[in-house]
Amino acid sequence: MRNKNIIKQLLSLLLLAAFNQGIYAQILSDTLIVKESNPFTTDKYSLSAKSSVAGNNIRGQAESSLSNLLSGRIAGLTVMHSSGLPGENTPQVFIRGKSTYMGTDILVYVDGFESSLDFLVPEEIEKITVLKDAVALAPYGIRGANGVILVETKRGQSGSLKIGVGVKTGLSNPINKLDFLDSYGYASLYNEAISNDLGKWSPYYTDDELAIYKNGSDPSFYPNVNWLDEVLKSQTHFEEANISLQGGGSNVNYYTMVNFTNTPQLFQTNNNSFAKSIKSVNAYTKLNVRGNIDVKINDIFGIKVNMGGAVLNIDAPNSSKIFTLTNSLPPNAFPVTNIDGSWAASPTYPDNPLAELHGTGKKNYHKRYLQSDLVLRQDLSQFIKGLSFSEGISFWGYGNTEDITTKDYQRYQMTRNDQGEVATNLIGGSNPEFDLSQSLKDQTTRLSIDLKANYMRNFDKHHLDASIAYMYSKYTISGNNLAYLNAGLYGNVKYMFDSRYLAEFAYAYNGSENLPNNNKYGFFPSMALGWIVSEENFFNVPSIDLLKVRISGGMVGNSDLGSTRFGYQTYYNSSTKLNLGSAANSSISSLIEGKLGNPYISYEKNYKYNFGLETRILKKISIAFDLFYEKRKGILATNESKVPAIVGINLPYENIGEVSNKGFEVELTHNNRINDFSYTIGGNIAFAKNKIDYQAEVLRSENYLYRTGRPVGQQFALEAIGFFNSWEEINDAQTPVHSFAQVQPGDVRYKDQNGDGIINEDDLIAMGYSSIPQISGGLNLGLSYKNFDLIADFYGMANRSTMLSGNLVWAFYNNGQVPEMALDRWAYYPDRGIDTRSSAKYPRLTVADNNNNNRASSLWMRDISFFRLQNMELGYNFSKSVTSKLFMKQLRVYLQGTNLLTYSTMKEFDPEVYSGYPMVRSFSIGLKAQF
Amino acid sequence: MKQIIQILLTATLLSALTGCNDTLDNSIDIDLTPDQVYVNFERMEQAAAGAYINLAKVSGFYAWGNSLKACASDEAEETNYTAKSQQFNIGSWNQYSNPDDIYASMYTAIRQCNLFLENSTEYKKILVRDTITSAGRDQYMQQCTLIEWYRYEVQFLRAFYHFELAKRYGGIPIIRKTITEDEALKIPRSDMQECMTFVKEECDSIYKHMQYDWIAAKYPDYHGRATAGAALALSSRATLYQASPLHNPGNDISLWKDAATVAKTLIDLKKANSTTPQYAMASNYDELFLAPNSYSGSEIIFYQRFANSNVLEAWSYPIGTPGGNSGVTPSQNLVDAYEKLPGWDASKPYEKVDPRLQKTIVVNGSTWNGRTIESHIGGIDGTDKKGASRTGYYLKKFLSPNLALTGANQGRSMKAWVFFRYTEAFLNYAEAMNEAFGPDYTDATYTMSAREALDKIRQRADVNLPAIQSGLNKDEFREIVKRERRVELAFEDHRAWDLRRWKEGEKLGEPIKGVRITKNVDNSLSYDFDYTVEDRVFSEKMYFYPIPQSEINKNPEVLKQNPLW
Repeated sequence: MRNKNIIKQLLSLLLLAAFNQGIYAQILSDTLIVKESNPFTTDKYSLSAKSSVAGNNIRGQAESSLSNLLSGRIAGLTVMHSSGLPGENTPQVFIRGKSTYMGTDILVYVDGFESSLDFLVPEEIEKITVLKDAVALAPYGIRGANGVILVETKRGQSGSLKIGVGVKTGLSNPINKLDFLDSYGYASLYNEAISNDLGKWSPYYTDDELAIYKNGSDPSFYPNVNWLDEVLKSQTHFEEANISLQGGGSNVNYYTMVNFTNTPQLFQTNNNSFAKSIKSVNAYTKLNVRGNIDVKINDIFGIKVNMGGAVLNIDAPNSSKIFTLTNSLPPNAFPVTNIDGSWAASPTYPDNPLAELHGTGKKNYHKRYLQSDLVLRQDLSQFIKGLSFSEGISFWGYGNTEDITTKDYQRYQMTRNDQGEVATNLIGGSNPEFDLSQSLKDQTTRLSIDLKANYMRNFDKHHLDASIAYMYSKYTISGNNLAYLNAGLYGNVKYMFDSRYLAEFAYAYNGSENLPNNNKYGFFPSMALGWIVSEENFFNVPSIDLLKVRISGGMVGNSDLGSTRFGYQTYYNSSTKLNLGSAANSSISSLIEGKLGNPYISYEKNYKYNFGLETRILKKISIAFDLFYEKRKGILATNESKVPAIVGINLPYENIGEVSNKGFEVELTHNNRINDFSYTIGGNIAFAKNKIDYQAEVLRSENYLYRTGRPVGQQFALEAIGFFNSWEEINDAQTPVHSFAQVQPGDVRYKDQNGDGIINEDDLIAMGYSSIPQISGGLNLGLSYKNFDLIADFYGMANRSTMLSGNLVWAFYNNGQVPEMALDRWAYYPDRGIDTRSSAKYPRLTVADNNNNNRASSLWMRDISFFRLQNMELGYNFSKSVTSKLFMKQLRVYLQGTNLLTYSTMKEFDPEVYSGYPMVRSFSIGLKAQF
Repeated sequence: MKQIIQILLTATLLSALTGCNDTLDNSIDIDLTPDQVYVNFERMEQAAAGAYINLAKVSGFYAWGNSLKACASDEAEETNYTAKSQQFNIGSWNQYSNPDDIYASMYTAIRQCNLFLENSTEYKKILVRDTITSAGRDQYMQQCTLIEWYRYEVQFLRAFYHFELAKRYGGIPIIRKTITEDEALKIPRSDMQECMTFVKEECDSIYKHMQYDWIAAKYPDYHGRATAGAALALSSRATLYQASPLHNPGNDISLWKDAATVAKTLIDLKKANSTTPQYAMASNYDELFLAPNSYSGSEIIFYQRFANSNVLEAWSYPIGTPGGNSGVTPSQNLVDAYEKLPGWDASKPYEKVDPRLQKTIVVNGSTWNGRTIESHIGGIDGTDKKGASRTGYYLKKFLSPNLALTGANQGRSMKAWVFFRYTEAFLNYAEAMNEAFGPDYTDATYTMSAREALDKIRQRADVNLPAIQSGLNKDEFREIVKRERRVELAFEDHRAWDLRRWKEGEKLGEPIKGVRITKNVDNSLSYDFDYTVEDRVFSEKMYFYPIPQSEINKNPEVLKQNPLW
């Protein structure tokens, strides 16, 4: 109740003060009538730790997700690519790594309202800023802990109409092809693997058969298929075109843009005419539109209207098995099609990847995004000097219709009798008509309201900027979901004396629907101090233009408790039905006690401290350095380590976990011009290292097994110390018992960490890093000479590990295929001249499951530090004499290449997208003109 | 005036926007809060169902995916190397990792039972009492009766869940009411005798109050809820385990007598107000395990029915059947246990043998799913084929024949896991009587001898094996009981537990054998019955599962680990 009153009183006071001035009847604007300049809007006088990239520097690529393009562009922002599939390639994004073992969803604000990043295109972006420290994040209060990304879209500038036109077209091809052995390699190693299992040389494929595989003379019965090559084309094309108009006068400024991209996917088109099948599943088109208008109605009232949206049309295969199959299906399982054109399969391998692609129908997504904002502004300087109000409302919506065409396909297997006659036999499946009946709909909407009062004055040497605002947000996901609600107050007070000493107090008092009634709101204060040393009289270093130090500290929160909604309340959940009835026709729904509610549940508290130093030297070199420490308390955990299972409860969440995180960022930019030659160098590097301080961990039998005290996501694995070379070694009394399976020569030998004579779960040790890098950064180079320019953008990551597993690395795993690395296997058949005991880097082969070898160990752990040339552009700017003849102001043509080079410590796979739909390398030619 | 209107408008707007806690309140709960559950008949019934559904955690179907726990005994080998049974078979299960660890999930189930029993105590006041109309009165009385039955059934379930825990872990803490964390830390393990006595006493005290027959009582839609027979069957199994060598090292004969008495009570159980026996042995062994007999047959005492499906068939159909994956493959060890009849010939090993063999197991040359099975080397189901059975046999029991497994129009069938069937009572009785009195003993109380009980099973219409000769001694008859139990109850999740309670765990460590059948040039077949498929591991400590180490760590002073773990 108290909260309610505070808010009501504050807002009433503010608004009544305004309305009582009698200005309600008039309405007015924004292209702001700033009577006094506000020094706090410039970076020089900002006390926040934040980094940004200008929209012009974000280079579009064949793949279309905006967040992927931010790799290495913003200090402290880690972007981990997850797939190359357009529309499905949203990366994992972290700001300053992780400071929790729970969710790390980052908030995205577009033009001041919560929205999303990936529907936007680079063309419409003015600037993207990442907020990192407490004082920058204070306004977001209960939702600020994971960091915020602010996007500003382009706006019109007063002046004559400017028309921009851009077109680009290019080709792209996959950069990572997985290396599996061909049929000959597969069959040869299969003989060895099965012999290993049977204990003596007992080949499954005869030498004659191996010879046929080798010379490929019988592709129907001795096929050799690279399934990924069959499923994906080696090349696809893409096109992009956009046009923008902007301009304005004294009262109205406008910016409009239309952007169209067509990025067909790499999936092979179909040329099988045997059965009814889908022609192609390649469509990916995206149309973006934007219209931003600023209107100044008079000296007091202004209006800002933003509309931005996207319409996407995407095809996808209906089958989800395709890449699982290409990763596992042996090259000699069956040919793609039988000699009569029917889809081939076998009882052991009943699914054909190509048939899954073309014979099972397709999904067609129609996605629509729309953000529309309306902001009213009142400059009340006429009445109270420095006072202004703004009232904004924003609606963000996402809708997706998924039309599903389903179908089955008939699988045939060829047989050949002694006379050499070939027959194809149906072994399963059917060939029905396409079923178009399925359609799924998915819709999310967000309503945001933001009411703000600002007071800004410059009194001689004193500068003051204070604001208070009320925010409300309602996020709804279609279906049986309750809305996500947030509301509260936020604001700040900034003060500067003589352009030398700065102070800022920022705060939020806001809440979430996800917390109990007595605890819905929290207060999130932060404080920052700054000193611009270079403005001091005593500072007399002419080469240093700017030297600023700043320090900030404060607390922000997180109330997003993962999938747990309303953790304060115990609910009974509907569970499986109890089937009853003598005629098997009745059932009773069941109710079971769910997770116990914790009435004291609260938001996570993230205490953030930051020290920053900014300098600029010789007007050419800018350096920013930030050092941070943060500690998150009250992370939700279930107290598994304490409550005995015999209580029988589903343990409640409690605010007990703690994670600390520390690190630094360095940003450097250098611009220089020597006659006709000019260049820019931009670089950033970020380091963040976290540690779980507490997480109610279960008691463990050895100290080194504890996750507490180690980074979030620390990998644990057995330490492989070579391979068993003989039964004598295995049976030696000194050799620990390998308890995961009965071992034989050639199996992995592990180190007995606790010396108890048994290799088991107690021998796992922390190894490598987590999969999220501790170090990430980027390097951006720009060169121009006369009319030519050259741009190169790199990004990289380090201190990052992954544990490989499954068919990608385990030969014959689940009847799967064989990776190239298996050629280095341990093998010992002296009669056949095979002895790799001394050189082996891979355990002995087996067609069975091997619980000893196929498990997390140092053998499968890879360090994946890498450095990638993400974008390279060579441009030519036509001179005025040419452009003027074409009625243009500017004209640039350019060649662009993306993902041209990658240096990685992991040699076997691409460091980011190991398997599935690959990342692409692209080459394109483009043109940008301005009229 | 204008200003006043403006102020009012503003104030209204503000109130709307700053409702504060109301602003952040969705004002509805999607799910039920605890105080909304025990308020009427429907929700109380659903809460009782919430106690029932935990049966799935101890069911033989789907507890280990689509495989069967038989693969972790000498009955079968699992074709899929990543199946959970492999961890047992290679002996790599322990207090940190145990694929059959149900410790926590059973206590969750027990809490659901206790919550129901505690919160429904006042059911007569909770149920809507309409005493004005006679229809209302009737409905109230009927609902009272139904909830009363549920209360006994949930008590039965609680006993059953305790039994399932004790059979695995040995004596475990008995939880008779909902407890707090602090209380839990003080509760030690009861010993095995206490646990089994608890189960027996619970069942004995409730069974007479339970429904005998849902169909006869005109509640056919409730068929499948626990009955008096179910409680007696649990009591029978618990008393048999209690008397067995593992838990009765001093061989206290009175425990065997108790077991015989309970089994006899169940065998003699009559329909309510009738002299007709409640249960009867089915005449048809092979159809007993297929729907609808698997739930509505005269022999079925307690079962859990699952939805229509073909995943079990897809898992375990022979590899030569499209969509089949071999899955659970019976061992030669089990095949050898089927009694050979006079005239048996090693060159035709599957003829002239206990007919239950081919009703349970698919053998080479037999006809199944409309085709001849070729598990000989080179055959389409042959042991040399990738993904084929490694034992040379395929599973038949439980699997519906002739289901299409590929394509859009697949066949499906109903599955029910039978926890208790009538025949088990005869096996329990025969074993207990033999241990207490010998094979041929009868008196006024025990009117049927152990031998007669076994013959009843052997003389099922479509089994029809010769009667057992009289005059055997206890030891000779014991082997016959054990073989009969092994064969009759194959794949029904008994074998691993029977071996343990008989103190014959070493048999779980014997190599699994399969057959290798070679087709000679003259099309005759040669059999190698001594092919080792897998070496197994069993050690002394494995008679009992280890208590999960995480539980020991929470309460090391009170909760003690089983020996040798």
